[in-house]
Amino acid sequence: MDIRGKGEYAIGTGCLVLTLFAFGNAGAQDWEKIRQQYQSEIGVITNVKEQLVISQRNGKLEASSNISKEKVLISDQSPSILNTEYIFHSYFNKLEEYDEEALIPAKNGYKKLKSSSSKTIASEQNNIFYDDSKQTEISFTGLTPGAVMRTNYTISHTDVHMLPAYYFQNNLPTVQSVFEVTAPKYVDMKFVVKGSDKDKVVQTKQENKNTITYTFTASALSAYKDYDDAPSSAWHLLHIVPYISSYQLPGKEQTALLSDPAHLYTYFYDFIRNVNTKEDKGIADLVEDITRDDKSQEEKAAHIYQWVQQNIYYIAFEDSLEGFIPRQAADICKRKFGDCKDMASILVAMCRKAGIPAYFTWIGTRSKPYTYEETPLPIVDNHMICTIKLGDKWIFLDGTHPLLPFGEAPAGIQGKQAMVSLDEKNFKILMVPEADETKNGCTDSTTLTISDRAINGTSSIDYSGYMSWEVQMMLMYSKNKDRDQLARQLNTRGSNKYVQNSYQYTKADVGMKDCRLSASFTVGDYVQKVGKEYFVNMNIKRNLEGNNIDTQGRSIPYYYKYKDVQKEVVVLQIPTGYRVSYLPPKAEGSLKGLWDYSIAYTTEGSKVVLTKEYRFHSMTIPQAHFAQHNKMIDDLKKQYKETIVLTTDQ
Amino acid sequence: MRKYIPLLYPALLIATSATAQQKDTLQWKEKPQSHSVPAEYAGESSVVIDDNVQLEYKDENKELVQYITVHRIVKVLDEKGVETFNKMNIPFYTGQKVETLKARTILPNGKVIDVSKDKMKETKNEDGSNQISFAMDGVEKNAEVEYLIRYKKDAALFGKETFQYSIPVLHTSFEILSPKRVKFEEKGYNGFPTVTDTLIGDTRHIYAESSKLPVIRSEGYSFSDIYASRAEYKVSYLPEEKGTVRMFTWQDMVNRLYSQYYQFSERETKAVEKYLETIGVSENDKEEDKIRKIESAIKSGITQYKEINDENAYKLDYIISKKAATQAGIIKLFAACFTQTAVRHELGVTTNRRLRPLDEEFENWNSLENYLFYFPTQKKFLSPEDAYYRYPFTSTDVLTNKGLFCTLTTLGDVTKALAKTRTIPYVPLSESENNITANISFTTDMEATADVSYTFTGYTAMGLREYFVLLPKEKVKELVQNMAHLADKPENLVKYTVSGEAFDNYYTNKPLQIAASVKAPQLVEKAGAKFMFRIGDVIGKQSELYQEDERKLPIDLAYPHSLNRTITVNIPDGYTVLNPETIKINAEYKNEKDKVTTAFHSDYKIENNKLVVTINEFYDQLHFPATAYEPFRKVINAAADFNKVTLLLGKEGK
Repeated sequence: MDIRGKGEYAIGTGCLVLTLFAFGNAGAQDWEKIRQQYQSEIGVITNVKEQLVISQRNGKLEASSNISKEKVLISDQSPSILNTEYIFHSYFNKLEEYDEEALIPAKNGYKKLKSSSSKTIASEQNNIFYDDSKQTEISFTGLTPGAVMRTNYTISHTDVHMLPAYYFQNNLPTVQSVFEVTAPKYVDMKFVVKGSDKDKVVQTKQENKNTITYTFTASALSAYKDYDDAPSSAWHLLHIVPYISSYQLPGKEQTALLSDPAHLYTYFYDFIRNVNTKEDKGIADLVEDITRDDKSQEEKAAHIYQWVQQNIYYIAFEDSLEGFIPRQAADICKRKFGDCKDMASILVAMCRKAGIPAYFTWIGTRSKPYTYEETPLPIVDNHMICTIKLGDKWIFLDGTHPLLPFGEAPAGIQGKQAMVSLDEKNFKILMVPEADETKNGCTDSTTLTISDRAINGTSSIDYSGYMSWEVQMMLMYSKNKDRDQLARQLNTRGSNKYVQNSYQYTKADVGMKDCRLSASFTVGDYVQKVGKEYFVNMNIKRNLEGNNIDTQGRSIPYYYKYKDVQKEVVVLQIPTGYRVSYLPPKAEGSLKGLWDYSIAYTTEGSKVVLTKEYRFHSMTIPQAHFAQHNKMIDDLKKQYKETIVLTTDQ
Repeated sequence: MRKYIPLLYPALLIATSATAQQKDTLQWKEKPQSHSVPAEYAGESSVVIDDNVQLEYKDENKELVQYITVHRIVKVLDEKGVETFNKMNIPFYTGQKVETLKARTILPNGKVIDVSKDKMKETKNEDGSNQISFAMDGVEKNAEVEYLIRYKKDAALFGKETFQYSIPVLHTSFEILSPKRVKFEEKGYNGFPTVTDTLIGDTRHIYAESSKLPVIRSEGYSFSDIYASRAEYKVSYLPEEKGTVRMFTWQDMVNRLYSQYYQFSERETKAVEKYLETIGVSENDKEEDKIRKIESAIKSGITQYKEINDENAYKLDYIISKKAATQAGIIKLFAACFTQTAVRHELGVTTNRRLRPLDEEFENWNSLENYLFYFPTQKKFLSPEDAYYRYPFTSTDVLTNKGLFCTLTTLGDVTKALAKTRTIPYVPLSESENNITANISFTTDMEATADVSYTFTGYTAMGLREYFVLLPKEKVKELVQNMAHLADKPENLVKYTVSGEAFDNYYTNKPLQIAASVKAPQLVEKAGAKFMFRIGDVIGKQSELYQEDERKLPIDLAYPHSLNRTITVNIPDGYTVLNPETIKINAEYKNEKDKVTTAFHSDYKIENNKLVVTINEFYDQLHFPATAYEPFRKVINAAADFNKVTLLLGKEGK
């Protein structure tokens, strides 16, 4: 998949584990007790606290956070593993000051140690070529097991629309984690709790003279854990999204900041207000050239989309507001590169030039667990596309994908809300549909003959929909020997003794862009032959064999990239003089509404035919169905062990 | 940026020439021309048209400084080529001054687009690693990307430049210019020419070039980096100051080691004396016990840091009291402890053999980064910087490499250090075993269960012990589940124990052991009235080299090891094994002395309804020529073949 994020502004995006904070009020005895309690761990966060303060200066709201964190080292190895603290910051979350100290166990209690060094370096994010995110590393020397490390720092938030979410967990177990927000009474604060174990959060609210303090506390938290096949950690990690809904400065009128999607839209619109306001002759000539022979708007749009896919390459620069403001279409056209917003910008400009209604569109990929209604905040989205309207039909165009067919949305935004900018005042929230299972998948056909203990065969895999585009993407970026190896990985079957004698790759560059991989192959030592019998396991591919869900502690759904149908047909030529003496029975299974499979063996003349089909009707398996799902996988694995027996009477 | 994936290519195929005449390869042409690419490269993603590196040494304000100029032109042929070269990251370090940086795109139609200064973004990091990042405008298929950078830095007296990559190179040149008083030597490797200098006026010139360098790809079982075409260089003479005395020799290096690691103040000596007492080293200990006690104490008690911001950080009294040291501090502490306990030893240093084996003949001090101690009485080595390794197992990066050692001789009050090169041998094969013992039974429903033990000694335990010692308990369970692969899901791992995790077990070579009871229903498949027992799965999936592929590189292995497996199968009553002969698999490789150094053998016997399978697989050689690939491959594949052995269990008489 090729969806890249635009500017992320939470502190330490992607490195959550290290971004949380602490507060030191425990005493020596407590630390000893904690060491005992957590003795099998390498370290523990005793206390982490973020205090977010909202205030006003000269009629403008300001926000800053003080974060304190206290960590106790437990095992003998921890001084060498846990001696560095990391603070993540950027243009939107500026590090103002920081301080640190360590307490070392001594004869009578603890001795203060001020022996540390710090440095700030660029913090790299995936897929982003250049950005302004930074990390400050504070390293302590002279630590011993039992040492207590404390860090304290202040972050100022450049834009009150983008207050970072507070994540309770850390890379180590956490005894207590506190998020405290203090705001003037005239500020209407809203909080949304997200992630698993929401009931762990204890909320209190205290009214002071002019302010209100909201406190969220969670205790006895396990270390941060990541799950396979989940869209992102934001789905399961316990966190709070704070935001300012509205405020009324003394003597002033009520001002809505982010009270609903409409206010978010007003905020967003400023980012695109000045984009492509001037006519550009280069763009006009280009559109004229690309769409010269087209009769319908659809043809024009399709050609424009294809041109952008093939000529504008993806590079992301994210320097402060660059993460939010699309570049001018004319520049992108000359420079031949851009990020998602730039691709959207040039698509909007070119389509409009061709007379097609086209709109900038914000969207969150499936890694974002938020909706515009629940949290009307910039945090909801991380991507931008272009939406066009042809007749009554809305079509989403994502320029970052180099070969998606016109009219198809990338897999990663299926089922997500799209905020479409119609004009300065009007927007529309559309839902990107989930692609139907029948559009995606593969049909894999093999014919086999037995030669001594080896099987020889030919195979072909017909890919369609998302699966086809994924395969094409992989093959597009590999050539020569790399491509041979990749083809072998895709074609392989039987066992790792699979030898690919030759292969062929064909693809359609128009329409739904299906593709096919075919091969001829040999797999040695695959068949058992004893006396008058051959034993052949025709399950040369074992889909889903490793799909058992690790249910331990998992409450978030298991995730598939898309719905699909996978078919497999294996035709085995029965050796001359042999007959089928054992044919495994038919089998099928169904997890209602989620997925099902069927397996059938038949004999047709001198051939044995195995037909398998797997249908995935849903992109997720919810927790309630994990047990049934795993049972289905176990059943499937039993089926894969079935072997046919061929016997000769001679 | 491009990937650097080097390889060996027969030197004959590389057209090389060496000439003293300097070429003007660094010129930034006013009107650049588009280059054509030979038809043989049409299938590549990109081709380096020209790759030129010039090192210019100059005397400025009585100091030798260095200017490095790099000029590259790359033609991009497809999407991947465009996406690789339409953006640049130019790294530079604090203290280096970029004097010139030009970059441009040359479109197939001849149009030239320059990257303007304002589009170049500079990232400065407090660790000194900075970079200039910029995107190349307008890059499309068949365009060329050209850049030239010239920067000034402190003079480096040693170094290497690599010229062979994962994309082909049409032409490359390497040039060193230096004042008359500084004489460099250059040595080419893997087909790159070796050239001596020519004095023209007051400047010494070294110019070497090479053309048509083919692609080098990484290949399995090979340290591909070491086979790339490259130039190494060093200052060898300072004719005006030192005449014909050779400079920067191995002896000079050893003198430096001695002065850096063997100068102790009285205060330090006292601190070490006390330290030795604390860690229980006594005069009467046997030498090996002294070595072990010292190593164990330092490695488990003193934390190693990349840097320590304290002027005393290199003093032994500081290190001992703060339990903190840099790498150099650790080495110094080892040297002091061995000296004060009269352990006969030699400090040594070498390169990482995966990146560049030490060339005894060319005294390049560059990348001498792996430190070692050698004990002449014991004839064994120790890696001081690797906190998780223990004597006599050193980092595998140095095995079979040559190393430069410092032998100390004392005459009266004067101690002298003498350079000696030694080959660093590996600890014998028998000390590094990865074994499996499995006892398999069947329930009445023919479900397999197994009591299985996995053991690791010597080099085979490296990496694993770290996990067991450092991971939190809950992660250890996940690790065991991964290793005890016979349990294909967590519920099937009935029980397990782990022992021998501690690093000090290397001293007695007590194995790291995982013993587990597992359910393994996946081992049995039904076949009509018979059962197929996938005995091969007991050893797990093995690496394989089944697909025939053109092999270019020699074979390199990380360490010697043997894999011994004993699988006892309790044959269910009434059943017999119908095809036991499939168990027997044999493959071996003999070296040039006709000694079997690498082999796989599996065999069996059946007694009292028990089938006992034994497997012995070993690798007692770390480097093989490319011509050994076929027999080597057979050994690797023999193990993979065993993984496919399936036994048929049938009722007697049927």
